[in-house]
Amino acid sequence: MDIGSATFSIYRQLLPILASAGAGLSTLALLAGTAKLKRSKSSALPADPEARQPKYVLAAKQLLEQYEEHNPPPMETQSAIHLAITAFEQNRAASTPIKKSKS
Amino acid sequence: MSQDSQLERSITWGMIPFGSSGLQVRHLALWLGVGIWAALTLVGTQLQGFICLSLNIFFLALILLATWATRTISLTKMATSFCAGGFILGVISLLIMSVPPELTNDPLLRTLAIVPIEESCKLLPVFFLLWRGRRFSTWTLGATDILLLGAASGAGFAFAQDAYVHQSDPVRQFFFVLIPAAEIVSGRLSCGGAILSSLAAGTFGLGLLFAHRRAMKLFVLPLGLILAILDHFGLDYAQMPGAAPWLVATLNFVTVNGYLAAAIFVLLLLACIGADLYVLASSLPKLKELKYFSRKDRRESIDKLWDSSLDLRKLSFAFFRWRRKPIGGDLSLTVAILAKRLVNRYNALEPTSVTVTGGMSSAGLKVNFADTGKSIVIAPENLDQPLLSRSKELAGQLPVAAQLNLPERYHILQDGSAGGMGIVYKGKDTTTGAEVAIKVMHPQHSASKTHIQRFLLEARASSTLQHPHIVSLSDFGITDRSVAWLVMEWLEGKDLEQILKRERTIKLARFLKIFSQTASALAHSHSKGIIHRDVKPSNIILIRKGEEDDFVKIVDFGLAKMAPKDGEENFHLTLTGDTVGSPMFMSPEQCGGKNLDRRSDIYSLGCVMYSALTGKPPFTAESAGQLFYKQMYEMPPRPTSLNPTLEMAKTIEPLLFKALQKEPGKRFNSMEELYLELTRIGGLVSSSGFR
Repeated sequence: MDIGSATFSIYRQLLPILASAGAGLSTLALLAGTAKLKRSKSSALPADPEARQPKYVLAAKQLLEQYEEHNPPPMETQSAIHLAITAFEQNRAASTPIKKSKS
Repeated sequence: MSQDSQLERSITWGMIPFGSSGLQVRHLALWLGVGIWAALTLVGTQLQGFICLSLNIFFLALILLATWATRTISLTKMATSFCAGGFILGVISLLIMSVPPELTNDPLLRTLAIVPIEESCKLLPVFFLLWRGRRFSTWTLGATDILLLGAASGAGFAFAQDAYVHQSDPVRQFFFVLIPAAEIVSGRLSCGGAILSSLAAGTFGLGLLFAHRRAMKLFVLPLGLILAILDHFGLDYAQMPGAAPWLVATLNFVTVNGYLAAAIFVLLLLACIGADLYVLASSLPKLKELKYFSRKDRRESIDKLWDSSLDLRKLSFAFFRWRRKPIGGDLSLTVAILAKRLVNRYNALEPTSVTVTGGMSSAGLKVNFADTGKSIVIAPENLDQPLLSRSKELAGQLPVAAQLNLPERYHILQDGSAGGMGIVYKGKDTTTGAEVAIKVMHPQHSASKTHIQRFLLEARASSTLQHPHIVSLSDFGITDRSVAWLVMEWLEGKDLEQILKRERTIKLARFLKIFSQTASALAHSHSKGIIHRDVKPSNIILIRKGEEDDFVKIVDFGLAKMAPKDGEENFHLTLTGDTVGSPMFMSPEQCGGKNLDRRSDIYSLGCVMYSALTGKPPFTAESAGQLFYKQMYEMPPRPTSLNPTLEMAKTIEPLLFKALQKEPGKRFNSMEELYLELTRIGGLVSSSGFR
């Protein structure tokens, strides 16, 4: 095998690996876009980047405040809120505590 | 560096100066990575790489289309999985390069180790994303979501593998195949990485969704991966020296035949969609907050509606699991957060944004609300008008008292002040000796018979109201100069607007006292069929009665009905020269020119209550048009964000938001109901010692 063909062979082998490094960089960049998780301040939220969206943060905080006050909201008589409260109370009562973030 | 800026930096990876807002390093890295990946692969493999990429993308697009009714997974996650698949191919290639060729080419080792490892590795991005979302998002996934993740990972893997590795196969000849993402290996059609990974991930998703069933967990969950390994094994086995012909033939038929595997994949896809549809249709209780289109006239943009629809699907999947295996911890928290989020959405506690377009015409500025297809016209004189009282300006236009020609028994004692729909003078009833307030219609309306008739009609209606917290009307009439007038009790006190201007906010106990009286008065009015329509702080007068402070008197009853014509009602306050700040307290239906009922007063009172507790009206804007828009389409910030020391916030906030609902049907059913709630909270306050 001459040097030229050997170089070409190595090039052929390395090319997919170099290309995949680009894919890896893109993966990291995409993951980092939702990686507020570990650095977020709130402790009542599940440790998942998706749960850090404002709409979920608002809901979780409302549930936590409500739970801490031991005072069911008098105005909210819908059944759906009872579903939320029941599930939340079950979560608090469960042996697995909510993981606190490292802020 | 603050915590927020640290957080932002960790997400953006820093900023590069570019244009007006800069460029995120993370975005740059993302596109640089994609560029390197695509360029090196396409340059190295040319047309074949391009076609492989196109087929895999086409395959993903097809199954995305097929699963639009059930998927909850985001396109970002799919893109992550796709890129991760490409990365894993590189890692595997690197590992194989580091192993002696005689080992990698050993048929037995290849069959028993390398093939299962390769097929499992294609699913690593799926497993990683499931692990990463184990506290929330994983519970919200349906079977099709996991299938899609597997498909994306497999496609990312196969794109490069097919382009590079299989290209070097000596017997391979590229030709276009009828199954996207299929590949020709050793001269035979085989399903490609995307289909095999979809198979593996799809059964995994089904098993995960029905994990409460032991059989599903044990047999269905790993079935797809086993099929994928068998398919791959069949391919390699045929190349083994000494392979048994009957087994090769069987494997060729059962596994290597791409069309058969593709058919199995299609069946699995249908099974996943069917299972997800079953869960979506059957799992959630039939609650009005958990319906897709329970509010047909809900002002939500398409993307927000889609977002809510996805949340409802997520809740369905999470609830399905929670109901069957009601464990606590993360799953129940996921259900709680999603249910609460949907309740908030139903109650419109979340701000919405609506695109507004419009243009000037001779009639004024026409503002179009894209979501509703409706429009309002703002008169040219009201455009860009600052929200300031025009009382001083109007003071110069007051008619001379002597020219009013009021009945002789009434003497005017003080010059009048512009307010409400007319001008109020302090006077004296010479018959009784009592001080009275004499209100005359603004001269600009005196020429209009319609105005005069309506003024008198409303005066008659107001005279029927007998309530301690409603200013009493003792006489009314019309002068020979066509000036309509009313005589009311004289009130010595301050209006709520003055008090809020001085004190900014009021304490909870005082708030409850003032507004329970106000609600009681308005409830009485409603019971007589009279809607105030102009509830605002300046129409709530606080006087001292005997030993009692803060005795409420509501004024200006019924006068706000003086709309010049139908269709102009929404602008009556500005057109009549009253303070243009009144739209701060107008209901959405009032802003939209719709028919009003008593619930309009509930909204207006909600605005006043909000102002009293936070020191700011729910909405502020620089022009009446902007304010109309906000009243119709936006929710105000939480009161505690403006007044963190708000007492009993968890009780008061829901009350305020219920009164401030955009849809009348979502507010209190009646002013009486609001009054009772205020009274109930007043009882709680008394017992808890809030002062």
